[in-house]
Amino acid sequence: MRTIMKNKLLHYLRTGILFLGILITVSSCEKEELITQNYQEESNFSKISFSELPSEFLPEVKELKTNYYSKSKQDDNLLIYDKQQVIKLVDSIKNTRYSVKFNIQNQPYNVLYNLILGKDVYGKKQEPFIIKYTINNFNEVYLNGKYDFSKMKGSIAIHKYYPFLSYLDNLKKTAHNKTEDGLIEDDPCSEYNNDGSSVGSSGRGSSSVSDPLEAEENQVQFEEPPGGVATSDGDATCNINLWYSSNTDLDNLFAITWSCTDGTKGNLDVKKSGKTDSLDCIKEGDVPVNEGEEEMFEIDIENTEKIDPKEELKCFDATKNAKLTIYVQQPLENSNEVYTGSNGPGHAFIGIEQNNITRNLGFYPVKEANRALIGVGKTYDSEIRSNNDYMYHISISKNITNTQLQTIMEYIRNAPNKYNVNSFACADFAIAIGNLAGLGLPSTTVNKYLFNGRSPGTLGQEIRQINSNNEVTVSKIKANSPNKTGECK
Amino acid sequence: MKIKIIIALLLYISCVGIQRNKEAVLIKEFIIKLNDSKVSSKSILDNFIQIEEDKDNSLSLSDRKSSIIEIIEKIRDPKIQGNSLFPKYALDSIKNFNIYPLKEYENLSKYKFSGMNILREDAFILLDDKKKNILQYFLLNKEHNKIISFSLFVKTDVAWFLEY
Repeated sequence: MRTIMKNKLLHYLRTGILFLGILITVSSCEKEELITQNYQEESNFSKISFSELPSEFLPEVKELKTNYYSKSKQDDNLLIYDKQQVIKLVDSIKNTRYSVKFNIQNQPYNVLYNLILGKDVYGKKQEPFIIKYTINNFNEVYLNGKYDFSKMKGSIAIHKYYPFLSYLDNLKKTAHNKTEDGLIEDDPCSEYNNDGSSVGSSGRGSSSVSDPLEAEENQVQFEEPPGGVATSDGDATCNINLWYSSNTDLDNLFAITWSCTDGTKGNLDVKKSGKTDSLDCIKEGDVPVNEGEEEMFEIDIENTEKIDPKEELKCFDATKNAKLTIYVQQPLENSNEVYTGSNGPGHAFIGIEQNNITRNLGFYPVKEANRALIGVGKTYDSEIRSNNDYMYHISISKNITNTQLQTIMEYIRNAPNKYNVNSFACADFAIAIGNLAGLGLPSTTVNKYLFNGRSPGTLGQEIRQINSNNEVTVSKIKANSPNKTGECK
Repeated sequence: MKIKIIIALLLYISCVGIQRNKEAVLIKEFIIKLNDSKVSSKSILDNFIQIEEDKDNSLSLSDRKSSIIEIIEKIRDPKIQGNSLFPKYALDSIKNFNIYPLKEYENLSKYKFSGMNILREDAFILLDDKKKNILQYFLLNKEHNKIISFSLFVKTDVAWFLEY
């Protein structure tokens, strides 16, 4: 009996040790995998596309788009929209607001704008308005392609919609006249800045600002709502509240607080630096801030498909004249940089326009299922891809004769079938075609790191030295290439 | 019999865990040293990177090794703006080194990769703490004990790992 008991005990002990072992191993594996729980929290805002915007807001969007944004006329292309997302926010009292991000050409990189559209709890449409963010500490706020507004030091200006359109009109005229005169925006109806010292966000940085509720100690009466800003920085989405004084004599915003879906909270003390009839500008309700998708200027994937140049070029009438454009996206705008900058190695491509037909083509290494690496000193098969609606920093255009068009089309149809970063890459392709059109583009070899070839950075700077004349038009305004237009018969 | 099955299961779980852990440890160590200017670029090259003679490459092995050192130094240079080729991010904001195979988080990548057949086995990524963004991409060798590439060559939306 004692032996049976002993055996049973041993059996349980063995099994127990085994399970303990499993438990330890599994728990150890989990630790090593360094897995963190995905943060899930219900929020009252969402990302929608342009097409999902309620139709009642389309007039404003169309107004901006029609008047200040043109894919076919580069000079009119004053605004750059983030086409990827509109931020929708339904606040606690059921106001709904939408935020559309846009940039204005030639504005400093640390400035971004949001068009705010909204309706109140009863469904009544509100006056649209514009919020301008000027981020003084851009390098701290914009990291890895994302904004972290909790670290922002700078100013927030609220502009009424129609005065802002007047400003855009003037800006557009200035662009047409090619003058360098600076233009002053309409006076914002409210403008605030935090002067740098008082940005805080728990877990991310220091906070020297007390909770706005403590402002009561300073005899300032205030009330929440009226507004708020929802940011979506790629990982956490934040709801930012604008705090206004309830005292009619102090009818202005004096602090901003926010809380994010990742649990962080923060304060941004604001010191007014402009006119402050803010309740005239902004009605009660939360305001979504849209800083765009991860990249400042997203590129539509379908705009860079591999194409068959023979098929694409069939669209052009070889007996007629056309317009050729060389587009250059520099690694770093207005710089000779070869690699560093937000645009990686950059890109150069060409566009041909004839009547209503437009084609934009670039030279690429082939994308293959079994080749993951590209080496600077190695040669690969090449392919031609479309570059429609593709961001560029500088372009040079020339009207070409039918003979030149034929020569260029022949070159593209029989383009080099090998791609080598050093010996023949995108810039070489663009330079070769430009020179078939008589543009006389230099083919300067740049030697940096392993690179020893023609760089979009240098090509861009060289084109920048050329001035427009009777034969060529040089555009030094950052824009997107026109979209593909016209189909072949 | 049951015990044998449990033991087999235990061994399998251990192996998978150790395997996953191997890449995570390698990449974590590399990232820490990459961002530590006290660690020489040469030692990072020697200890973490696999680079071999390549008759198809017109550049010499020593030139290619020099390029890795230059890239490391550029990454460490605070004046240089980071990009896919010189991946930079605030390391002190990372609480957990979330390192996973790219294939598990392919949907988070904003690039279309050339060579997906290879990447499905050998490409790994570092995710941010919320596992919503890819901070850096790594291509490991077949044995997964060295890094072949830690930067990308991106043309438009198409990406290749840069071969040094």
